[in-house]
Amino acid sequence: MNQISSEQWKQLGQDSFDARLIAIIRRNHPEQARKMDFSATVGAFHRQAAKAQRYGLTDEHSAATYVYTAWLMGEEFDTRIPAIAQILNDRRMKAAEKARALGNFARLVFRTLSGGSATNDAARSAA
Amino acid sequence: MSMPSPPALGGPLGDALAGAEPAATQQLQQLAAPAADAASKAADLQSQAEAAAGAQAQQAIADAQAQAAQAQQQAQAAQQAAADAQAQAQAAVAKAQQAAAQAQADATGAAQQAQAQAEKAAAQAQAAQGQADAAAQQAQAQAAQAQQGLADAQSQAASAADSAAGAAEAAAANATKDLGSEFSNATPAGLPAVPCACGDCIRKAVDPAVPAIPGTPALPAMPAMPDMPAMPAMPAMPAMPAMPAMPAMPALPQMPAMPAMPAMPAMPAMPEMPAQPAMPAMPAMPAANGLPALPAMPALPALPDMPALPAMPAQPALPALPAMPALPEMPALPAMPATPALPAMPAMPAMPAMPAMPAMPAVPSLPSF
Repeated sequence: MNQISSEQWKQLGQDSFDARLIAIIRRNHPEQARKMDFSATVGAFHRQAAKAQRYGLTDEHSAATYVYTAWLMGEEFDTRIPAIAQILNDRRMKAAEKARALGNFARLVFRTLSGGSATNDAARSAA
Repeated sequence: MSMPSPPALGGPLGDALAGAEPAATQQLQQLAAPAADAASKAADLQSQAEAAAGAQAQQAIADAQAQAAQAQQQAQAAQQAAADAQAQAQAAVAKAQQAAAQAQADATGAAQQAQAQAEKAAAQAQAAQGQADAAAQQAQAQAAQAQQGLADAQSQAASAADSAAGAAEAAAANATKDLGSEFSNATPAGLPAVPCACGDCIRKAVDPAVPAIPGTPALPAMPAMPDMPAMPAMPAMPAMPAMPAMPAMPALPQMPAMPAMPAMPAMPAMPEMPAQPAMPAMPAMPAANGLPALPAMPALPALPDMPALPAMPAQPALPALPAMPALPEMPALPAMPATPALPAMPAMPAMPAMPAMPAMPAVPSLPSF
């Protein structure tokens, strides 16, 4: 009877995770993806996935959100951005809440940089 | 010269920062600043994201409404132009009719001239009517186009209200949606995706008692099976009679060894012998002069000629053959009982053709956990 070792099982999971994440990046960021060598990037993905585990992002959705945010923001985004560091290091927040905060932060950053003002929008909306 | 490779992570932020204005960078610092605690910062980010999405949707609606108003103005202008053209045409026709009536009423010598003028005016009126019709058609087409533009603008406004994402953050927003659909929040990171969020599947996945299930190889496509003809009935087989017992076979004695045969030398060829004529019988001869008496000799028949015999090659010696052991006696075989008759087999009906079956893909083995 064929049996898969725990190492093979882990490798299967990691390959599946990488493949789905790369597909999402290619689909939504075709310009940047075209310039990238993903075979060299998966090592960085694995390092980021390990960091996500340390922040309590243990389910694959939260971990993938963390790795994707790292791909957008850079390797040390978790320590370089004080607000993000505050959220990730909080032990009372659930993984899903942290992942949602990462997604919101990334969207607001790119909105601000593309000319829209997140804070002005908030003020206008409140008014 | 080698080009510098882009950074593995952070490329999108780098690209966006490269073209950002200083004011945007200041706003980013405000966004990145921590709050009193993590939960309030997360709530702040959530409300800002919702507000940004709402503002973006409102802006899109306002843009679409402006487009719709412009399209409506164009439609009104086109309709006005059509109405003006029709009014001009009607005025020309009335003038021509008036001229014709005046010409007919005038009975003087200038009647013919007036008639010609009237006809000319009528022709002008007809041309004006044609122009007016064309202008009206064009105005109607413009009005329809403007109406279509209005409908498009309203549709854009509706879809803009649904989509909160702007162009700048669209990729990140869509990717966030994709992450939600591609990655499970019930599966631990690092395990292959489990297509169910019930939780039981995951517990099963870490249960070491579940053995691996071997995969099944792919099955090739099955060709269509032709019609099978009907099989005729098979006749009954008669009963087989009983076979009598076979008597025992006596033992065979031992065969003695055969001695070796010496080699035979080659025989030279023999020449042909001519035929010999028959010899008559010779009477007996009495003894005389010291010679013994010779008995009578019978007649000898003629001998036919003998053909030449070819030389015979030497024959090799034959080795001795060992003695053959005695064969034991064979016991008697018991009698075989009679076998009963087999009943007749009924005819089998024809089988219909079977369609081709597609190939089945291989099923991968499931691991043990």
